[in-house]
Amino acid sequence: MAIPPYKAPSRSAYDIVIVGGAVIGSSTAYWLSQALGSGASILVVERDSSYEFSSTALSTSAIRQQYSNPINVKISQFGIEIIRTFQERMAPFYPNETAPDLGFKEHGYLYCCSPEGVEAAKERVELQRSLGAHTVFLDPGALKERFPWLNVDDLGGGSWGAREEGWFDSMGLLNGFRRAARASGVEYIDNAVTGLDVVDGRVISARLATGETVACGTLVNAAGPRAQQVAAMAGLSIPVAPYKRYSFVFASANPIPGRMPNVIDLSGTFVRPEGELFLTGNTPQGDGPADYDDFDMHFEEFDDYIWPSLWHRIPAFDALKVQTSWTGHYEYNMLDHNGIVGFHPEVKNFMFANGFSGHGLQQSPAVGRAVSELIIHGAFQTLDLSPFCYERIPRNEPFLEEAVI
Amino acid sequence: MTILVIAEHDNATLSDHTAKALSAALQIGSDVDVLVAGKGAKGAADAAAKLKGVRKVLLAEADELAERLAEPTAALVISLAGFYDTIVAPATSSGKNVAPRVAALLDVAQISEIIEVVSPDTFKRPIYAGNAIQTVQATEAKKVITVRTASFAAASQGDSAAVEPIAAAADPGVSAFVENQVSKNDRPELTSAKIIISGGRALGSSEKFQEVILPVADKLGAAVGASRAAVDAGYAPNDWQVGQTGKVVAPDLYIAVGVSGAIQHLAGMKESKIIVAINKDEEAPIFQVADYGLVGDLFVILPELLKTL
Amino acid sequence: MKLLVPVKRVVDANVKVRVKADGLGVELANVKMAMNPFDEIAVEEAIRIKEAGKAEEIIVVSVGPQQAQETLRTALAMGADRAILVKTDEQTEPLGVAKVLKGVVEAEKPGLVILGKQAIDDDSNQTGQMLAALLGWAQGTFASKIELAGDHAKVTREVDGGLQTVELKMPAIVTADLRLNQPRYASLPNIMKAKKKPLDEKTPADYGADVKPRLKVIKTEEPGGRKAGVKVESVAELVEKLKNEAGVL
Repeated sequence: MAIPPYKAPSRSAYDIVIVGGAVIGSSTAYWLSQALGSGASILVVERDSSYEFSSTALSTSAIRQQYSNPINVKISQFGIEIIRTFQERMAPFYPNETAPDLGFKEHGYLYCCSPEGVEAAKERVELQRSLGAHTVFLDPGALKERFPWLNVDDLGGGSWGAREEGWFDSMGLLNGFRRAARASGVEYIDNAVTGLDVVDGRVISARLATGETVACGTLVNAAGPRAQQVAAMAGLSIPVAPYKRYSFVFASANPIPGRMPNVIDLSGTFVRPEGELFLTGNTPQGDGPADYDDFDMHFEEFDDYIWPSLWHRIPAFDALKVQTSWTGHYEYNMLDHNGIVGFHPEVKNFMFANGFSGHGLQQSPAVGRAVSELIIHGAFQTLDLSPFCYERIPRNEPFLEEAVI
Repeated sequence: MTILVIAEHDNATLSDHTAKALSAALQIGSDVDVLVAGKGAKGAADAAAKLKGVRKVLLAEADELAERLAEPTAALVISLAGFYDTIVAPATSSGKNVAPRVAALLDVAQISEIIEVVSPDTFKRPIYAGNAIQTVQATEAKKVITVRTASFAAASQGDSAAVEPIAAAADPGVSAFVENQVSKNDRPELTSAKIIISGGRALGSSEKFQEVILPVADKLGAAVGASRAAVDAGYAPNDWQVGQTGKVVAPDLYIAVGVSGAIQHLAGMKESKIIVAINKDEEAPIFQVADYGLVGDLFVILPELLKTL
Repeated sequence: MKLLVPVKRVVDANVKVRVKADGLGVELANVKMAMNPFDEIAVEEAIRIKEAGKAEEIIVVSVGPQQAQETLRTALAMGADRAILVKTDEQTEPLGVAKVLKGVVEAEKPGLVILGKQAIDDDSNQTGQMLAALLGWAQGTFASKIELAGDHAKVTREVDGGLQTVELKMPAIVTADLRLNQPRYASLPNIMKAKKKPLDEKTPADYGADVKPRLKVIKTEEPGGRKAGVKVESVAELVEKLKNEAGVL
């Protein structure tokens, strides 16, 4: 797909310039526009509005509540509320047609648990339940009864989100936020930010690939895997880099009966149904930062690592054939694989919304709202996302999340 | 340069493919004869004699040629091959059946499905299902070529060449015709269809999907696809889904109806040769990849399309 | 009876090939390769014939580079019994391959050779017919059904506008079309077992075959680029353009 031709912005100054128009940038633009109405000028700069290589489009597009940190659970709960009510929420922006439903498939996640991990898993389940999640811990017998196709021989059990976890339409979410933001006065342009001008601890303007300079009151970095490129334009540094993730869609000779959840194997391999097909992936061998434009596929990941683990966990997966595959990028926070949300302490109008390490899509509703609150009110109004503050980065104080896929 | 064109016909009538293969042959050289191999094929031979540029028509008739079985037809062509530098057949199922057999018996390469004559020994042909075009040069004195007839205009009529009856070659006697069946109009498979019509969420219901999309599909002999949103909404079955987590298709013609064109859908169909988008929303991403876009209400446009086709 | 199935290693059907910048072919670096889909159908048909008790052994053969071994292993995992790799790094053409296969046929004496009707890389659609010619055998191309009875094979062929059934004297050549069957997926345990099945390595010279190319490839190019899309105003204009400008109706 060709990158759409770049266009000049309509004004020379904006209250807020958002770098990146995929789901984080668009959620931010949406929440800002709903709170500010036409009282503020907002520009979203998107380098490729075909979104062909955006992490939003290439995401496996799932949402879960099974986290070890309360704040991550709450972020997801808000995301689920938005996903479930998206059609109603978007209705005003689709005057003559039905607003999109995000096709939320509430099949849940099933985290397999080793015998050694049972205690910790039960603690996480308790934590999640105390916050209102529907996670249950199933011992091997109960697990086998509910999911007869699962090999439980080497498991101590599994935690399963019986409700309010699953997968949905990522581009539907992005398109809705974007459409609503534009209808509410936000300007989106096809263009790339190539430089930032910082004077006295403030970003005063952004330079565009087409030569224009736009002044800005606040700059939001929503550049996904390219977040560090944008940070560097302001002389800043965050430990965020693109990490490649390979997704494989396969057909199985044997169907899996019933309502199959997104199964997370001990090996880290995930697998879930996609119609008659299945979607799978895992952290690749030799994981590490990749080039921004490196979307090369490593087909052997499936044959050599993923398939053997699938077959072990689900013996019905003995005869498979990959139908399609793609490579996407995580915007990976190498410090603690959690997001970075908040203003920079010295470049005071530079807002980070970065480093979500594979959770960006599912966290985007809450993150966009939180960013809008910080910009408008100077403080969080609903969920307190201060654990994600930028300050932990230079202090080298990781905010750890144990449940990472 | 003498050229023999193997005619495509059903004995009684001559197929248009012959006139198109003749056009290709005439671009290679001017001395072109047409071979009509069949049984009771005078009608086809007379029609061939009328084509402009034909030097003469050779008519060979025999029982084993009635259905143009590969073995006796190839034997016949071989018996004539000494008189010709180049043997041309249209790339029909019959031509593709016979021509390679002829080439192998002559111990020469065959050049398949040419779409352009660059020079008498150099041709363009599609490879990788048309995703690349190769220019190849024959290095041998004798050439066997099949012609993708869609790439050549049919030779016009107006001449009256002689029809010369010739003897069939000895039948190798290893094959026999049993029967022909005219195809039932089964809907083609999504992944191998030449035309696909796909419906999206804008169809609104399974009933509307059936009512609006299927008649046009049947009229076009097209396979039916669907966007993920349409499948998720239950308007179309899972195995119709085109896209990132469904089927990847590349037909000659892809008609996207009420499909907004999320990038995941485009990933499954953007290599289609010609893409048509019909959508109410002028800004739908599908228009970015469409060769022809028609903005409007699909419930008005599709019935009209059905009538026009 | 033995069955022989030639298979070719090609760019995976789901991969969109790109022409190399130098115009001398298509980009094959880091491209997923797979068994030619029509050959998979041929392998499946052979397995079904064997499962029906009408054949004892399935031999798969590939003429190509060392990596074609992977394709042969896939066929073995599906259910073929043994494999022959006729190794060559030449850009083989159908005639050269047919000559090698003639040698293999003479050495193995199969009762039926089943090939894919066409390889999806060079789209030649020649090898089966050429092999039949070189052997003087009958050919049933573009098969959608094969019935074996004694020394004859009844083959239903997909032809323009319908189906044609022919009866062939065996031994014979059949080329597989899309609707002949739905090939099975090789299972992981069978893929592991296939690593132990016999795989012989030969060269074209072992069969006295000359595989030097006869055609000279002058260049390879992208097809005429997609023109910028246009908006049409009416159904009539759309249909007119599809017919006369795009030529797809």
